[in-house]
Amino acid sequence: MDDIKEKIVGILQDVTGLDNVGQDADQDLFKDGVLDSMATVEVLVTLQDDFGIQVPVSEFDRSQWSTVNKIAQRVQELE
Amino acid sequence: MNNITPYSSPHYFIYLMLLLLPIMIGLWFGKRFRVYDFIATVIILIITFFGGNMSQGISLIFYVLYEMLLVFTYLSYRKKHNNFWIFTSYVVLAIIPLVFVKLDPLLKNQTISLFAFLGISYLTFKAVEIIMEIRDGVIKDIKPYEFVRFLLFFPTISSGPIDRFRRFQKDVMNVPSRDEYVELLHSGVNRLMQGLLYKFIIGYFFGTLLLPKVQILTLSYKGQTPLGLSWALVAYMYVYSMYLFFDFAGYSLFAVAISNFMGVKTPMNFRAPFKSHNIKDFWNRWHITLSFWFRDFIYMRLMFTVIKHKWLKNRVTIANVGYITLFLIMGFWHGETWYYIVYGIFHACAMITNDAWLRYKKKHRKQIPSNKFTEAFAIFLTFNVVCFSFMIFSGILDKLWFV
Amino acid sequence: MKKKLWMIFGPVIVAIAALLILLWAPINFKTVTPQKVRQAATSLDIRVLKGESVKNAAEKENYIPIIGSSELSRMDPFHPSSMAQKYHWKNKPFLQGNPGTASLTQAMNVGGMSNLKGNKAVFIISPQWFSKSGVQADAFKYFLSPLQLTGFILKSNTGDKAMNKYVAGRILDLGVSKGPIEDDALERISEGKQITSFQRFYIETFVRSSLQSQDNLFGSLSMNDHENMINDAASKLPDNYNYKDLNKLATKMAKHNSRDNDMQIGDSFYKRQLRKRIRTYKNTHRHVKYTSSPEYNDFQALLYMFARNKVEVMFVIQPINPHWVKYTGMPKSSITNFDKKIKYQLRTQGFNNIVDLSNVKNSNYIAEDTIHMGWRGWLMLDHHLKGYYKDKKANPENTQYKMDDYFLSNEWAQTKNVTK
Repeated sequence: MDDIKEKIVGILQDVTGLDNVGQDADQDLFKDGVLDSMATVEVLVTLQDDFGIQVPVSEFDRSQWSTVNKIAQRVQELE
Repeated sequence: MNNITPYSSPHYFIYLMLLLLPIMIGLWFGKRFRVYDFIATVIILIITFFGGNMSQGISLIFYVLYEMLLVFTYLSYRKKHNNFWIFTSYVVLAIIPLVFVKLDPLLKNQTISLFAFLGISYLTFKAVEIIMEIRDGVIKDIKPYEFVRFLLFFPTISSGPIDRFRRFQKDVMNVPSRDEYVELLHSGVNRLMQGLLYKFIIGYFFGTLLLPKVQILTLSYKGQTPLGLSWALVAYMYVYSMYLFFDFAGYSLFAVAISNFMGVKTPMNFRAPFKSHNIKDFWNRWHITLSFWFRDFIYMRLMFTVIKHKWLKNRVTIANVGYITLFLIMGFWHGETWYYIVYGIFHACAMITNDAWLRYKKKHRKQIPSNKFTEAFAIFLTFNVVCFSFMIFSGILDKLWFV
Repeated sequence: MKKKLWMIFGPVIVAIAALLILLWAPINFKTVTPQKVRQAATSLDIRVLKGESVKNAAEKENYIPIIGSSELSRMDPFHPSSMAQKYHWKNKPFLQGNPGTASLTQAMNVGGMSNLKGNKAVFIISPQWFSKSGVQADAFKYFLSPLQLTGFILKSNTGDKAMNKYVAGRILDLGVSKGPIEDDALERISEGKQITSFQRFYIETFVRSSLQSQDNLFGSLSMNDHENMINDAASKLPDNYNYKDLNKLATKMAKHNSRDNDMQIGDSFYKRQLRKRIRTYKNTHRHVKYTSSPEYNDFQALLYMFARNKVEVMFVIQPINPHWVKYTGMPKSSITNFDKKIKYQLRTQGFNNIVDLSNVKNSNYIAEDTIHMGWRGWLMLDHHLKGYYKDKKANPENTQYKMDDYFLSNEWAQTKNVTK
C-alpha cells in the first residue's frame, strides 16, 4: 500500500510540478486547486499506464479520488 | 388553455403544490407512491406541453420514444461488443434531434422542427450521459421506466439542473428517514423562498423594470456614435448580467427546492458565481451542472483521447485546444448566431489567458504579492470579464450593429 | 417533530396568509390623499399612467388631464402646470404621458379612467407617432397596464363592438401575453365573441381585484416628484398675466437657453443628444411621411374611448421646431398632409376643438428642442387652456360624437390623400 502511495505521489508531483504535493495524504486535491481537469486526465492516463488498470472517465467520481489516500485505495481495488 | 412555462406564474406554483402534497405526506410517513408519482408527472407534463397547441407535447413523446430506442438497443449491443464507431454513431444519433432544432432558425423556410419542445437540450444531455456511461460499463442495467422517470423528472424538465443517472437513482430508490426528510423540507423551503426573491423580486427589478429602459437608451445611440458605443451600453452590460443571474439562479433554486420536497437531492446550479477569483473558478460556480457535464463528457474525454494516443505532446497546447473545442461547442449549443459563438471563443480565450497567468504565477510565486487587495482586484476583474461576455451573449451588439 | 415542522412551514404559511389578505381582502387601503394627487399631477411616474386609483381620485378634485407623451416633461416656466399654479387657474393640469406613449397606450389609459365620464380632457398629438410601422411592440408592452387590460376585457360587453374587436386584436398582434385565461379572453373579443362567464369570473375575482389592491397599495408610493421643478418654473413668471409681456419673456428666456446652436434647440438637450451627431441628421427626413400608419387606427380606438364616456376633448397638434424641419430636409407637405388627414378624422366624427400649433405665423421658439413643444409653444397652448380650464365639466353640446368604424380599417390607415 505504501508502495502504491509513493508512486502516486510521484505521479502527482510530475504532473503538477509541485514538490509539496502528497505531504498530507488527506489533502483534498480538487478543493485546494492542485488538480484541474487537465491534470486529472494526465494523472488518470499515467495511472493506467503505470498500474495497468482501466479507469473510465465516468467512473471517476471526484469525491472518491480527492486525496492521495483515496486514490491509493481505488487503485488497489482496480488492480 | 395555453402551455404554462414552469415556475413562471403563480398558477404553476398552485398546481405544483397541490400535486406535491400527497408525495410529501407519503415521504413523511416513509413511503413513495410510485403510481402517484407517475400520474403527477403526467399531469405536470400536460400542463407544460399540451396546452393550446399540442405540437410540443407530441414532439416530446416522439423524442422520448426515439431516445429510448437508442439507449436500449445500445445497451443490448454493449453487453456483447464495444466498438468505438458504433458508440460514436449512437451519440451522434442521440444528438441529432437537438441539432435539427438548433439549425431550424437558420433555414429560410422555417419548419417547426419535428422535435422542438421546451427543454430538449436538457433531456439530450441526460440521454447522452446514459449512453456514455453504458459504454464505460458503469451503467450495466437500466429499466425503461427508470430511464423515463429520470428523463422526465418534472422539477428539472425545462432548464435543468442536469442531474446524473446514478446519483438520481440512489435518491429515488431510497426513502429518506424522517430526520433526513425534515432536513430536505427545510432546505427546500429555504430555496423556494430564496428563488422567489431572486426571480420575482431582484430578477424582476433588473429584467422587467430596468432592462427595457436601458436597452432603449443604448439603442438610441445606434448609428450616432462610432459603432453605436455609449456609456449606456456599459450600464446595459451590468443590468443584463444581474438579470441573467437572478432569473436563472432563481429558476434553478425552484427546481432544486421542488426536487427536495420529492426526496431528491438535485445538485445546485450556482455557487456565488460573482465571487469567483478567476474565470476557471467562475465556471465551477456558474451553471455548474452544465459546465460539469461539458467537463466530464466532452473536455476530459477529449483530453483523455489526445493524451492517450499522444496526438499532441505539449500539455499547454492540449489544454488550449480542449478549451477552444469545448467553448465552441457550448457556443453552438446556445444557438447558431454570431454572438453566441463569439461568446464561446471569448471564454476560451479567457481560459487560455487565465491558465497562462496561473503558470506564470506558479513560477514567480515569490515576486507576486498576494493579499486582500490582490484578491479583491481578482474578483473585480473576473466579474467584469464575465459581465462583458454576457453583454456579447445578450445579442445587444447584434441589435446595435446589424438589425 | 411538530415544532420542527412549524419552524419550517410556519413562516411560509404566515407569509401566504398576509399576502392573501393584502391582495384580495376587500379592504380599501386609503393611500391616495389630496397631497398624493397633487404630487401625481406632475410626477409623470409610470405607475400613475398604468394605475387607476390616483387618476380617478384626481377626477373628483379640480384637475383636468393633459394626455400626451414626452413633451410633458419639458417643464419650463410656460409649461401649463407652472402657469396654472402661478395664475391660480381654477382647475389644474394632471399630466399623463411618457416618452414612448402613443395612441394605443393612451386609449387603454383613457379606458381605465371611469371618473373621466362627462368631464374635459386635453390631448396632445405628436406627428412622429404616425410612422409607417406605428407603435413599437416593445414600447407598447412596456406601458401596457395589466390593470387597464383587465378593465378593457371586463368592459368588452359594452361600448362599440368594432372598437373592442380592433383593440383586442391589435394587443394580441403586438405580442402581449398576460396569462392563458386573459389571452383566451382577448382572442374571443378579437373574434367578436363575448368572453365566457368563467373568464369574467376569474378575471374579475382573482386578477383584477388583486391588481386593484396593488394599485391602491403601491400605485402612489414614493413617486417621482417634480413639484419643486414646477415651483421653480412658476417663480420665474411675472405676477400679472399679460400675454404680450409673457411672449417677450418666453422669447428672451428661450434665446438665453439656446446659445449653443443657431437652431433654437435648448442647450442641455443639444449638448446631451445632438452636438456630436448633428451631422448625421442632415437631410435624413427627406422622405418622411406621416400619412400612412396603423397609428391612425389606434388613434381611432382612443377616440372611441373618449366618446364612450362623453369626454370633451381639446386636441393639440404639436409643433416641430422649424429649424429642425429645415435641417433634416423634411418636406413641408409631410406636416400639412398629416394635419389634413388627422383633422378630417377628428372633425367628421364631431371632435371640433383642435389647436393646431404645427402651422402658426410666428414659430420662433415654439419648441424646446427638436420635436417637443416648449417656451412660446407652451404659451400659445396656455392661451387656449386658460378659458378651457375654467370649468371641468364637459359641455354636452360638444360631445355629440358620430363615430365611424371606417377609421378602424386598414384602408383608412393607408389613405394618403384626404379629398376634403
